[in-house]
Amino acid sequence: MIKKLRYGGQIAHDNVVPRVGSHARQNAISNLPRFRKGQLKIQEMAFVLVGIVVLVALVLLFFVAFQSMEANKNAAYYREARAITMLEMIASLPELRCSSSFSTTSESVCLDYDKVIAFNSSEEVQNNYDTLWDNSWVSKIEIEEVYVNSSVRKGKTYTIYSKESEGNVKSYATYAALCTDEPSGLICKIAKIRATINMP
Amino acid sequence: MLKKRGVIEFSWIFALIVGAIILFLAFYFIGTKFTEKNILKSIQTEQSLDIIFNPFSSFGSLGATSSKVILLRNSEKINFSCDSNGLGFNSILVSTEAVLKPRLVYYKYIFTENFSQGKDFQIISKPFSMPWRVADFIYFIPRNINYCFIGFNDIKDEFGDSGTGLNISNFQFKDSRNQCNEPSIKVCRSGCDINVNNGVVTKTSGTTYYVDDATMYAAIFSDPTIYNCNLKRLGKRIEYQTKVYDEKVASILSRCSDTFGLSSLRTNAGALYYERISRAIGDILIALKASSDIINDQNRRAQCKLF
Repeated sequence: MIKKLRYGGQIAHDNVVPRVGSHARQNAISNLPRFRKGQLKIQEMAFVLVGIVVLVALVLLFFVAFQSMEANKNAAYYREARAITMLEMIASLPELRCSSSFSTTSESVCLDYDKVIAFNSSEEVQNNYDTLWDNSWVSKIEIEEVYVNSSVRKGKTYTIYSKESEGNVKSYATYAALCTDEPSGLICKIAKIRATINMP
Repeated sequence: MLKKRGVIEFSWIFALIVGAIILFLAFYFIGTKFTEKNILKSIQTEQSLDIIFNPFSSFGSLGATSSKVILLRNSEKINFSCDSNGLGFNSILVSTEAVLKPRLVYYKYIFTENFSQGKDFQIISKPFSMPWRVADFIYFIPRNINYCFIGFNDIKDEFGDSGTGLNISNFQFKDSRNQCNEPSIKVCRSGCDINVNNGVVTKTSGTTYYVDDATMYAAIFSDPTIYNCNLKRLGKRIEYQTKVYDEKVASILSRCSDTFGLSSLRTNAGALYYERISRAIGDILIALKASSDIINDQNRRAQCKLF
């Protein structure tokens, strides 16, 4: 009676039962009929190739995930850098900055209090500029009056733009002069420009 | 591979782990080398062109005409287009960027030809007031294109090599066409490549209309389609700014009794936004300038200034 045993996915006769160890395996293989030995090698090779492909795919997947993590980090850094540049430039936007009449020489870098009030009091005015803020990932811009002794008096906060933010946000701030052109002369306060940025 | 049934040999586990590490490192180094090169190229181009890409970047001093030279590492093909929907945008496509996707530049008004190629670019920024400072115009000119201005002393004062001029190297200022160095685009009152006369700029690509220096330079250096599109965008911007100034007028009334006629400016700015025909855009621009002059006059006499 011929007993059949499985060996390496192959069917072998019981007279070539494989034993543990490479020497035994060599013997077992050498005792196989010639065509079965070849088949076994092809199958082993196919198995190794499939294994390599799966391995490469997994590594590639891991690599892509790693790269996208890096890209996210770079995007966050880029937004941060853009936010800092933007803060410096908000006070010079024609819609917010002081006009030439505020200064005897050229246009001064300060916020026009009346323009800030215009933005704060009108949602329509705020929404007119949403493309500028949306495309700069801004969810909120506020101007806050700052007093030297802030514990005694809390300054008013004016909203330039506000949109509901989703997810991760970060705020950046800088200082600027907030001025009104009165008949008696220029009156300025210290203000904080605060921008809230949507982070990736 | 199998020691006993279902038990994997240590050497195979080791080979898999080491193989995975080697493969990962190979992908990482090859990938980063390739992407790094492309990203570095993109970043260098982007940083150089930040003045036009970033709505918050600026150069020169505030409220003055300024110039800057952009030097790119390689010669680039740059395509410009414009969209006037709402506040609109300028679209810029740099051919060597890693991702061939146009950049949409909001709140900047870039006046240039549709297509520019070169390594060095001359950028000139000039404030545009109507009547207050609405925005800064940006003229984007490849430095391999020479302009020869014939009989324009005012332009020579602004862009020439005199003490106060910006000394733009690819601009020549001559008294006659024969004196121009070749090759160059000749700009004169009539009979040149670009004719500038009495509020009208004529060139082979079309006719455009101007009302002040800022719009005249814009008409000279840009394609008529981009010029008209940017003017329409500016029309919308003036309309929105008028709303801000309307609110400011209300604030001023609490301290002074000055009045300003902003309604005609708003109407003309709105009309500029909706107009499509070049000639009609020119007419509206003239009307806009007239209403702007009236407000300018009112502001000059006002106790509490609007701008």
